[in-house]
Amino acid sequence: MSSTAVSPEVGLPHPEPAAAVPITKHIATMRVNGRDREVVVEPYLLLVDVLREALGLTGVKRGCATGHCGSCTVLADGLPIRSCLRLAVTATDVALETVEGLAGPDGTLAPLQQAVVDHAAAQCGYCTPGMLMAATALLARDPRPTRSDVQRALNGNLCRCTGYVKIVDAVLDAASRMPGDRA
Amino acid sequence: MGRVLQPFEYYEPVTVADAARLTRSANAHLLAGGCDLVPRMRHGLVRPERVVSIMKVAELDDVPRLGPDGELRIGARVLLGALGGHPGLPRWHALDDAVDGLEPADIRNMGTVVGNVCSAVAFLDVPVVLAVLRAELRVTDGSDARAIPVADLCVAPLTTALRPGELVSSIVVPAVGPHSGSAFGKIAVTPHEEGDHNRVSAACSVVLDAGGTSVASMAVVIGSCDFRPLPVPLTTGFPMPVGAATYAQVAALAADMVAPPADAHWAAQVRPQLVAALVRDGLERAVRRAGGPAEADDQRRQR
Repeated sequence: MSSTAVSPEVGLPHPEPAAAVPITKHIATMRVNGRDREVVVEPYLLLVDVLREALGLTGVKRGCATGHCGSCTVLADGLPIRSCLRLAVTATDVALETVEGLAGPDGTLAPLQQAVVDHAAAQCGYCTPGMLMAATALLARDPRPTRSDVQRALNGNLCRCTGYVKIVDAVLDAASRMPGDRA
Repeated sequence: MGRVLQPFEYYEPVTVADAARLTRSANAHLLAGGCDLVPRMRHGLVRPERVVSIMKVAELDDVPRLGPDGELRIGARVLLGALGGHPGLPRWHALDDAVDGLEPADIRNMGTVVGNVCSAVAFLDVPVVLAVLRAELRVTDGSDARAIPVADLCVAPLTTALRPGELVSSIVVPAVGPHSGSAFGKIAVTPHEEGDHNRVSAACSVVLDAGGTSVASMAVVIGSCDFRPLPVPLTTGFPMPVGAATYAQVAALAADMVAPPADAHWAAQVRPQLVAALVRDGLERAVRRAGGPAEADDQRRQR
């Protein structure tokens, strides 16, 4: 194996170095579904567990807990992430959205949720929250996706029940009912 | 609350020097996006006593940049998705292919490019491409710096050449010269036995002569067939004529090089053929992107 000495790269401007201290158990503020929520955070806690157990947002599902199935998908600053791979302590500076935030204040289902109902696109329902969040991110980015776009966006969300076709149909149906032009 | 991970000391340093110092201790692990470290902790494969996040270190760039010589500089905090969205990425065709093919989107929004390479996981795509593009890792221990070719990073399964107290500050991908092209492809394979890598991949890079009729130089790297990206030893002389015969000749070299895993008896029959197909296709696309002629099959596909 070879390596060569090089000049240290010119660093970007950085704040005055402070002595690094360990981050321990503390009360943090998390922005979840548009609300600031206080929660006790310890470094070893996963975001999925803090959302479910500390904040009661059990719509976020823990499936494989290793980042493969997508049932834990939530949005961080509008982008889908695996909450089972994210330490909660690293998620206190982003805006989080879970499936509980999709419906209106009066309980009216979001177009995506209604479309899942209309198309019978859920059986056991365990994958559904993750599917909804991935689809929400897709439609925010591309209001008029093609079937292939939808399939690709949901590629990381596994479903053992439905065979995916009705889920894709529901997303396309919801897109057709929502305002917006293709980016 | 239920606990999945074992407790550890956790730090978020704001300088490279601090981050390097904190990881000099035994059993300290660097954390970027967490897509590799967290599952390893979850499975008990590693039990760090200290985890040091690099995501608050402003000296580590989080935006891909073009350097003064046309090189691509990828800082340690650059997410895979951020690289994919960079307007300059298509110049490095193979890297564009690999990032575009990364699934799922969640991982692209969480994982960093440097973390993807430093995970030393055999079946990942980006390290294979960076090896064929002759990219280098810029490594620092907070005071001194050295460069390690990506192709030389993995020294054993899941093990890199990084020393305790070192961290990668960036990856530098050389500028694309004239008459250059590259391509990456992969084939997903249904695992037959535990431990099978579920794909094979190939990255190809060519430089043509000014007329586009011969290959002046070439590099081919195979992925997912060993613990590290495998460069194909090109025993043919250069220049080589552009065309199917050349692609088949190099594909045969690649297929011969692939060692079937001892515990996957079926792979001996399948994997060399897959590697050969990927290399033939990769060379055709790389040549076309370098300004060479398209093969007859390519011309039919393009209609």
